Amino acid sequence: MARTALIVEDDPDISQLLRFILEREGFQVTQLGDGRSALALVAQGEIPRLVLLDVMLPHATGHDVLAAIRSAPAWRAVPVVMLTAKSREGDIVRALDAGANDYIVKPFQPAELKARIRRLVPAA
Amino acid sequence: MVAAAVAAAAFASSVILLVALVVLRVARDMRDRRLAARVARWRSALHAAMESPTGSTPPVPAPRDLPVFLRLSNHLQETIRGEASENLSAAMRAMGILPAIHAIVARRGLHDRLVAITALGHLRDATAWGLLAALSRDADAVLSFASARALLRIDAPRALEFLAEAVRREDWSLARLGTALQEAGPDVVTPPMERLLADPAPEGLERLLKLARFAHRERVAKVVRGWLGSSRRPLVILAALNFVEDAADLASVRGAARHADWRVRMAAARALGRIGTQRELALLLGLLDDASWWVRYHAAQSIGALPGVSPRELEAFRARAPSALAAGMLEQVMAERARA
Repeated sequence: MARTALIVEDDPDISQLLRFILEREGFQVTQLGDGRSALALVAQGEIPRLVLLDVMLPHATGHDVLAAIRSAPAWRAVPVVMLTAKSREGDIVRALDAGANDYIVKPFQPAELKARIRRLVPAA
Repeated sequence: MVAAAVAAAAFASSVILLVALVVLRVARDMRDRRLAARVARWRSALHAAMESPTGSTPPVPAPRDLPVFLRLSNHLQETIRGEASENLSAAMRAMGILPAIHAIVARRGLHDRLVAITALGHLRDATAWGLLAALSRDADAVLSFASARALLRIDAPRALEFLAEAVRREDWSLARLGTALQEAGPDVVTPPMERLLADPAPEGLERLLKLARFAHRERVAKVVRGWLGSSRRPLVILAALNFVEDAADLASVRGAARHADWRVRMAAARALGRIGTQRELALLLGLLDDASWWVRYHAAQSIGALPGVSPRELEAFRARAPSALAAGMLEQVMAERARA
């Protein structure tokens, strides 16, 4: 099974950085820039092995997308890593309570993100 | 005949204008596409440099492209931290980019100068210290703050020798200054903060105390609590009360609960909730009739926070409250606690 990942992040520079990191880890990456597109993908899209999900998104928040992922039977087991700004660390508790598997606070250490990803989706 | 000539000329002008517009639009699109391609190459190179500073580095972009490149690298620096950030800085310094950045700071318009100043900070360019120190005293609030922020990134302990000046700059946003101090960290912020607070009447005290939360609380508290018994200034007493954590200060706090300034009474009510026992109940119940809503509110919160005060006792206090004001406030706090 291909190692596929979904990035939902509205800042194109950060999204490209995440793509770079994930591709170095051997993932095929899909990028989305807003919550509404992510909700549409969860409703009928291909299921990835991993989701990196920003909390602050246009149209629908990361919390909304996380709730949709955890209530969709086919997506329920997909590991989700939430991305949040340092000034909004209160979001972390809410995200973990709602079923996020892990979180990363921006600014982040790429090596730490890679380690967390490897823990959640071990290489075959 | 004349009318036909005028119409033909007007038509020709319109066509020429239309063609010119199309040419300009096409030229702009081509320029944007070329820039987008360069940005994509720079981004890949910066990402690679972040992983390994010893890899091949891109050539320094042309002067007209440099601000765009620096915006990209600044944004990346603000997204990452740790070894990746150090690798990126090392790789950019190895490009020999610093002279070109200094040239932008010296010559270009405000926006490009800000981008360049920020880049010097991220690259921790110690050779820019004199230039940035001079700019940090500029009358322009945006330019001077960006320079001070860059100095903090280059050498935070040295930059914070000028904390007093930063506090005096009322045109600098306190929130942004706080973010910069938070980035520097409490180990660096605490020593100069202690020195400034040791002054019995430091300039800009209100701003200074708002920034004190970015220092180690217990060390700031040690200095500030001393003001409780020695100052008559409401603002100073108020600040000291906010740092009270020790029952040894109870006598001073009880005195502050009767202060003429409602802000001091409010801070005293809050402090009693943190350090008091049921011996403070009479004082706090008295504050429930205070003229200030805030004093009444914090007195009620503190009564609920006293050790051993159960929801049932809170209800008993409400039932026996001497006034409607006091009963109403206790009722509000009870409702908040039930909802929490």
